[in-house]
Amino acid sequence: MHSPFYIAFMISVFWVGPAVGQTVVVDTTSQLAPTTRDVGKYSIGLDIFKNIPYLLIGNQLPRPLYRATTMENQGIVEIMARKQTSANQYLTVLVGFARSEIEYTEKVETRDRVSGWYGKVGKEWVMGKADRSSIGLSGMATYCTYQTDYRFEGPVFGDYLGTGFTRNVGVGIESYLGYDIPLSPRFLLRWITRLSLHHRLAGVGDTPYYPGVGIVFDSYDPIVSFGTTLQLHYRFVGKKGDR
Amino acid sequence: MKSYPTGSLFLIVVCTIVGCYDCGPQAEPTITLNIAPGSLPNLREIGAMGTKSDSVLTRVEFGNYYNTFGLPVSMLQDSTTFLLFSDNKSDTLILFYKRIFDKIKQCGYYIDLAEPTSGPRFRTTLSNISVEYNSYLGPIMINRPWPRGIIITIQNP
Repeated sequence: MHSPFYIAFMISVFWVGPAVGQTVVVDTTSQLAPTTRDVGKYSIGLDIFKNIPYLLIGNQLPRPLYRATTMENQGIVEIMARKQTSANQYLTVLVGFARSEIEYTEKVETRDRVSGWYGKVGKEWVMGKADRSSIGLSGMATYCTYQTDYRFEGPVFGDYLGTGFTRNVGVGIESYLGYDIPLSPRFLLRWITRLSLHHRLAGVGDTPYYPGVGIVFDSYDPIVSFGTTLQLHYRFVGKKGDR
Repeated sequence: MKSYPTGSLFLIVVCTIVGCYDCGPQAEPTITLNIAPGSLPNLREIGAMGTKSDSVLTRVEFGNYYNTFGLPVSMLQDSTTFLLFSDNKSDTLILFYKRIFDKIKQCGYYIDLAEPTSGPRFRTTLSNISVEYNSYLGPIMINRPWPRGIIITIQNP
């Protein structure tokens, strides 16, 4: 039962605890408060917030527009990397995977099983004197599958039950604001607030949840979505000469 | 004064988003049976094979003009056998069709019926029957033919 995916999901939710604890242990060598600019050239990160709202409401998300629709998040895993390209610029790469199950009681569709991958590549500019804020722009590519159970009611001859399968492919652009909260020389908490525009190139049908875009309610295509999350980054400090 | 342009704008916006599209029955489809006056004067009931409970779908009381009945068809197979009970005999009419289960942007999943790709359109003990196949789906327009779907017409012999 405990697949690597499940373990990664649990780490993404609970990793924040030990990381905050390490502030005391690791932060003994640095005298100055670490900033974005003077520490390291690379960092890798894991999303630590996206699953939490679902857990808080029992992993069941009722949609306000359709009374009898529920969504069960089965895990969102996002891993990202940053590379400093100049004094105030970064290259960012993000890979994510998400899975969920949506159930309806008032539609022809009775159940959607959603599973998808997405990738984002972009550029980030550091703003302000404190080097804590940044603005980013990235391109996005998505792939997700919808396995849909549906039922056509047949009062005279009997119901017809069927299952359909849709492959969705999309591209998008995303702009975001980042705010860095250094926890230690090694760990960095980033607060990311994004606004993205997504367009589907392949696939038809409603997508109440689109991996990489989020909960999209009743918009079909293109989708504009907004989100905010926390990322925990591990910084590779590099050689002593670099610092 | 302002409500009229606001209302039209709302309608245009809604039609742009939703597409003002007829998604068909989204359930067991209904065909239209037209019986010309005098062609089956003793017809009393119309039934079908393979129904879940009562095989009688409708009782018949003729008027002077074309009599039109809406009859459900099975989604579980590519044909439906109708039984036409008259006073002293019963006729059968087997209607063949192709079932389409698919999805489109405007509707999501839908059901539609089409002409069979091979084989006859119908088999029957009756004479002078014609069957017309139309899609149950389509954009909503003023000149859209009505009724949609499959139309069976029994003419006078």
